[in-house]
Formats: sequence, C-alpha cells, structure tokens
Amino acid sequence: MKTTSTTRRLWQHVAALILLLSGVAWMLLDAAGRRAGHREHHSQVRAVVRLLGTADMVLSSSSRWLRHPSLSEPGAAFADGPAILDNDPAGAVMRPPREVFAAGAGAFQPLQEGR
Amino acid sequence: MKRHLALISFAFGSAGRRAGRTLSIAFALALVTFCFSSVLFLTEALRREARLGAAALPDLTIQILAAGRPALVSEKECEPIATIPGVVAVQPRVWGYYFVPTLSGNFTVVGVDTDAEDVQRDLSLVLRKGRLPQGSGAGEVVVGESLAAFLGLKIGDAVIFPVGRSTKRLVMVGLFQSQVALWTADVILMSVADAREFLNVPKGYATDIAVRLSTPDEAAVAARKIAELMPAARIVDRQLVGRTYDLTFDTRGGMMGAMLMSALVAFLILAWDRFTAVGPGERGEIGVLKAIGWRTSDVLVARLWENTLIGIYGALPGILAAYAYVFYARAPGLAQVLLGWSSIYPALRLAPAVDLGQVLVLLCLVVIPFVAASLVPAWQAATRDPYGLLRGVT
Amino acid sequence: MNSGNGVMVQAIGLTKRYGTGHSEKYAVRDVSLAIPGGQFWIVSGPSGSGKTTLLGLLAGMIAPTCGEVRLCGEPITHLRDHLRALVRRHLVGVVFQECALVPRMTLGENLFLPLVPEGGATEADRLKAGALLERFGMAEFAQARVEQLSAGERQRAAIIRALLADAPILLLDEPTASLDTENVRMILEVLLRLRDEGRTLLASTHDQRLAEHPHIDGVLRLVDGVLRE
Repeated sequence: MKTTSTTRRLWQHVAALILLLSGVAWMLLDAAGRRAGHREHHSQVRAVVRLLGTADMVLSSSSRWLRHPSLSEPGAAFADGPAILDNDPAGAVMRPPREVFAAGAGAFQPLQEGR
Repeated sequence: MKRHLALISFAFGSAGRRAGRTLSIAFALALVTFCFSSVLFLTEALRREARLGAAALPDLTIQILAAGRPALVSEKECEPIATIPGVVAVQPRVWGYYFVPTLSGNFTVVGVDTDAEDVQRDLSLVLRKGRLPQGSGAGEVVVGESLAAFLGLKIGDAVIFPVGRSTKRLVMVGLFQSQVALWTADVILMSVADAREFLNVPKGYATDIAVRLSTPDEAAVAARKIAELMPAARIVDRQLVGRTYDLTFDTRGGMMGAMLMSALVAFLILAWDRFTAVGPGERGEIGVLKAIGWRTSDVLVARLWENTLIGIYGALPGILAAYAYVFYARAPGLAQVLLGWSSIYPALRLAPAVDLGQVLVLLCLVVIPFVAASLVPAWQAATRDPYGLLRGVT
Repeated sequence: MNSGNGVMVQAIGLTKRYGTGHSEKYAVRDVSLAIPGGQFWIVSGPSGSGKTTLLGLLAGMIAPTCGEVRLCGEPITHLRDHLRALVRRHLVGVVFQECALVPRMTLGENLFLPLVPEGGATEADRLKAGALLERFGMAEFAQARVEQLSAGERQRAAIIRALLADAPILLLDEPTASLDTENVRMILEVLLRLRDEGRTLLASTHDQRLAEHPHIDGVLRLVDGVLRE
C-alpha cells in the first residue's frame, strides 16, 4: 500500500523550504555583491569626511542633536527639560549618545574644600 | 534518526491539516520579523556607512563649552596645542548651521581652504557637476543635491540669504555626488572667508579645532595635556566619534528597539493565547495519539517540529521582504521615521551589512521564543489523560 | 508475554473516583475481573454505567484511584507514561467509541499513525496493511480521506489500525454503536474471526443484541460502576 499523499505533502514542504533558503542565499549573495561594488564609494566617503571634518550623516537635519550627534551640545537632546523628548520624531526615537556628551568630563571631578 | 524523520513528516502533515491556523500565525510572525529585520538592516547599514569615514576623521576634535553649549574658540589656543609632543597638525574649523524659517529648512555650512591642494583633490573626487569654488569671498559654493533641489538651484544660480542686518549672495558652482548624499545632502561648502561672513564667526575665532597626531595611540595623553591647557574644552577622540552610531542605534537602549521588543513580546503573548486555546479537534488528536501508543515526548517532538516549521515559514519571508524593502525600495515610511520632520532628505543608498550571522540571529530571536511559547500549551495537553482528551474532558 | 493460568486481562479491586467530599463520584468501584486468553467477552450496561472508564483503565489510559490491572499476567498500573505508551502500542489494541481517526488524513495515514514514533511504516507494514484492507473489503479506500468513509467503514478502519501492531488483546468501546444491522453483523463476524485466531477481546456495549449473541464467551454487567451478577 502506498502513502502517496503523505509523500507528496512532504515534498511540497521540502520544496517550499528549499525555495525560502534559496531566497536567503540570493539575499546574502546580493548583499555581498553590493558591498563589493561599493569599494569606490569608500574613497569618496573619506574625501567627504576630510572636507567636512565630521563623519556625521544627514539623518535628521531638523532634530536638535541628530545632525551632528558626535559634536552636539550635551543638552541638545533635552533642551526643554531632562525628560522631555525631542519634538522631532527621529530625535525622539533615537537615543542620544551620552558617552559622547561625557567626553572629557572624566578629568574634572568636583572636589570638596580641604580634601 | 528514523524516528525524527517520521515525526517531522507527521509534523509537516499536521501543519498542512491546520492550514488556516498555520497561515495566520505564520503571517503574523512574518509581519513582526519584517518590522524587526527592517530596522536592524537599516541601522546596521547606516552603522557600516558611518564606519567607512572613521579613518579620515581628525584624531581629536576640541570644542569649547559656555553655559553647557558649544561656543566659539579663539584661534590663539592652537599655538600651545601645536607644541604638545605627538601633535602633527592643528586646524581651526569654521562651520555651523543656518536655518531658513520661510522654508523650514536647516542646513550645514562648512568653510574650507579652497586654495589648498588637498582640499581641491578631495573635492574633485566628490563633485558630480560643475567646478571647484575659487577665490575667497567670492561667494562660490558647492551644494548637496537634496539642498539644491530644496532651494531649486542649478549650476550657476545665485541665491541671497539674510545674514544679520545685511545679506550674502551665494553662487552655486558645483554639486556633490549622489553617492555621498548621506553626508552632504544639507551641506553648503564655501571658502573660510565666506563661511565667517555667513555664520558671523569673527576673525580670530573658530567653531572648533581639529588635531592630527603622529600616532592615534597618543590620543589619551594628548587629550589630557589639552585639557590642562583648556579646562573648559570638550575633547572628542576619533574612536568615540566612530562609535557614535553604535551608541545611537543601540537596539537595547533605543526607543525604536524598545518598541520592537514590545511588538515581539505582544506577538508571543498572542501565539501563546492562540496555542493555549487548543481546540477540541486538536485536543482530540493528541488524545488519539496518546491512546494509540505515542509517548508524551513523541507528541512534543512532533509539535516542536510543526511549530519550528511555522516559525521558519513566518520568519524567512519576513526577512526577505525586509531586505527588499530596505535596499530596493529604500525603506519608505521607516526612512521618514528616521529622518523626522526634515525638509531635506538624503536618498538612502546604502550597502547592506547583512550576513549569515545576522540572519541566524534574527531567526533565533524570533523562532526560538515562538517555538518555546507554543510548546508549553502542547505539553499541558500531552501530559493529560488521553481518555480525558478523547472525551473532551479537561 | 503470557500468564501461567491463561488469563490475559485481569483487574483486581479497580476503582476510579472523581472529585472529593460532597462532589465525589465513582465511575468504577471495586471491579475485579479475569478474562482468559482467546475469548471474546462483553461488558454491558446502560449509558453512564462506567463501561468506557473501565476499558480506559484496562488499557492504561486512565490512572485508577486504587486497584490493579494486569495484562498477560504483568501489572501495568504503576508503569510510567512511556512504558504505558508501549503497552498501548504493542500489547493492547484500543478501538474507541468515536473510532478516533484523525480527520483530514487519509485512511492509510491513520493506519500507520502508531508506527510513526518507531520510524514510520516499513515495506512489511505496508504489505500487512494492504492484506488487512483486502481482508476487510477496504482496499479501495486506502487513499480516501476519513471524512469520506461511512460509519461502518470507519469502524473497520479503527479495528485494522488496532490489528496492525499484532496486539494480542483488543479492547473495543461500543464497536456497533450507530451502525445499521448489516454493518453490525459484519463487525461481529470480524470480531469473532479475530477471537478464533487466538486474540482476546473485550467489548463494551449497551446493545442487548451483542450481549446476548450465542458466540460470546462471557458477559459482565456493569451498573453504576459496579459489576453485578
């Protein structure tokens, strides 16, 4: 006695999985290909960074701190109050890089008199 | 091995028999995976782009803060910095922002020494049209393509901006290439003299100071010495600037990541709810299996494979759709969230940072919790009396 | 597996109680029975008398409140879940009241369900299933979906599934319920043939025609969970 419907169903699933995995393989190859084709772009990016002096991208030119997160004022993200989010949705949604704001602060610790 | 193959075959059949449920859960899973993957692909691609320029950054960037806000720094500070051992070059920079209220547009003004050979060399690499600006004070500028489109400018066009109580006339002589739009979309590049006039930065002052060192390892020592010379300075080193986008897009800390995690948790709760509402048909099926000699572990392994299959059917299409959405369609909708209310939009022409590791992480992040959530109701049913399950008695 | 005195199915003081205190209810109370090998017995009684529960207890599908069940002389009551599953797979073929065939599967897939945890059906299993289907006049329905089968055909299919594992004991719950006279006669014929081949059968029924059949070897009468003479 043959169980053809079981076998057919099994092969259908195997085919579907192979199709999906082929899709993933194509995606990875496409990504690698795009990266390889982007090499000329690297020298252009470095030229632009040298010209502008900053690697910050134009992500949100109207957000208080997102245009140049590496060089923004520490209070930029919270200009109206510490817990108030940026009016701009992008600035509100993305976390400001607090570690960058704290750069250089470590050298200066408040000292109590007499100590 | 044979046992697992037979149970897998049974599991595939089960998924097909309950096609409605399988498809609806796979669809919901695909949606969640799509959202998660889209954000991950986009932020990883942006991070990768940001890292491309890190090597070209100055080793140290020095800002002065006054009342917690960046203030202009005197160019006299450059001399003592130049004497610090290891410092190769000290360059005061003039740059800033300009807001046009009537257009609700904010753009970045950058002043460069247009006569310097290295500046001309770099500009020629990134100029798409036109020529290099010439002559200090002539008002010749190179503009980013999005800003040019926003202002409606073509090569040779002039535009007059209010500056203080007077005006400044700028002539667009060049356009940046689209490939560098992510950095230059809102930029107007001009000579230092023009930038001073435009931004009202008096002679003898600069926006910040860029420092180049003989070796990057000297950065900490040099920064300490500079801090002694300039106590009010904020000194940002290249490594930290290079990590900015890692810090910004940290999915654990970012609100976007938090929202998506909530979506994933909500989906898992839904999956749990869906699976615990195991219908009488499914309960009866488990009862039959137990009654004809299946062990609890056999039932659970079959369910595990069934739910893994559903998980894969949901997650993989979601990942593929996210890839196409971000890198072919350029993320409409999501890009707007990222760009906020900007009036100047760079086109997101990004190279994917997607690799096999990321895909596996995404799969594990979505499929494993989903399978775990759906196994528990199956275990609850499988450990019950088969007789009770057959009769519909709990 | 065989007991010394030829008893294949034995229950000693079997009791199943549900609930406690005021809400306690006995489905089966202190039932003891011994069915010799190669015989066909009936347990009869009205609806709700506990027949199905008794069969469930004997098959190891329900844990008794107290008492013991022995199959082929070996106690099964205190076996762990995975061993009781093996008992149900190899020792006892159970045919349920509702036949318990999985819908949206074919008849063939249903027949081989008990074999899945062992790696699926082998060629020998397929040949055996083919022979059984022929014997029971069901060969043409091998690829038919369960929903397409009549009540009698489903009942026969459930019996074939129980027979595939060559279990020496068959427990059948209302095997002739909702069948017409012709199908009842056919099923009875099948069961008697199996008895003649040496299997031990115990069937529950509220159908007096079955209980009073001249070829039945013994009748147990269950009323309110208690065996009556």
